[in-house]
Amino acid sequence: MAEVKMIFIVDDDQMQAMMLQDYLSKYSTFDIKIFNSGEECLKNLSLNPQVVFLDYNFDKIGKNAMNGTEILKEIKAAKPETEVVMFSGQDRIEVAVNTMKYGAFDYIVKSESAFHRSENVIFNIIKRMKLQGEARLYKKLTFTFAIAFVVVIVAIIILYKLGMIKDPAWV
Amino acid sequence: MSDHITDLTFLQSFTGGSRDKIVKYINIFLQMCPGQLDAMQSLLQSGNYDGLRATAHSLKPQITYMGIRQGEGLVKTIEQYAGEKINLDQLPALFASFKEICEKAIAELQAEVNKA
Repeated sequence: MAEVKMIFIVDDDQMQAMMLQDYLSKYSTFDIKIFNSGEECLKNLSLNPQVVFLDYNFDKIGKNAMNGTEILKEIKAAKPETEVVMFSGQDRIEVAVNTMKYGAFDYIVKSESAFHRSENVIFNIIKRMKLQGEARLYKKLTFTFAIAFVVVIVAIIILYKLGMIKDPAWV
Repeated sequence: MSDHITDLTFLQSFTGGSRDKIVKYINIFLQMCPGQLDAMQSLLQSGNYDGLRATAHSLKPQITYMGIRQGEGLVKTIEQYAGEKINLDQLPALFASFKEICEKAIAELQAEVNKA
């Protein structure tokens, strides 16, 4: 669980946020912070959360409170590498599809099974992070190998032109 | 057959049977639910259906976690009718039934918290 350290829970429902925090706290490596509005979450993005569980409706905060999609867009604009998991009582498919379009990693409908699902989603995020890390490593190795190959070829050509090597078998 | 309105099976499983945690969640519900019911009543009376939908929506998961099965369908219907502004004439009766169930649930949960 080394890759996911900081988790934000953004929900105006105190019980929901505390239950999710308690559920995920069985993994002592997670540092979990609760915010009751999107605005508070955005102010604290400098803490570099790897995962944000984000509610969709913030009606309790007030009519002018940002909704889930607006907060999601701002998080992804500021921290594209942060994975946002929508965690909402809203079970309309078009809402889920819309948030996925704006970069949400997954969409969980608040229910009795939502907590177990949230744990699985974190495992999937960790899996994806590992794959992305491996892909970056292979890309780096391929690039290093290509550079080394070009350097060797250029060196051989220069040495050949200088007469320091004669008729290499491959020329 | 039990005449209980609430069913704490989910909370017991979720908390691994921890009485402290069960009481903690019930207390949050007891603090929040009466205020939300009052808010729903005034929103209904003032014809603020968007507000009614929003409040019903936020109460919905808590009703599920407290195992108030009879209230789940009602709060969902209230949310839907208020959100879509349909069957508005049915909302007062639906809300009255929902409020009655919630009040019984609150009394039951209060008794649960008061247990030694």
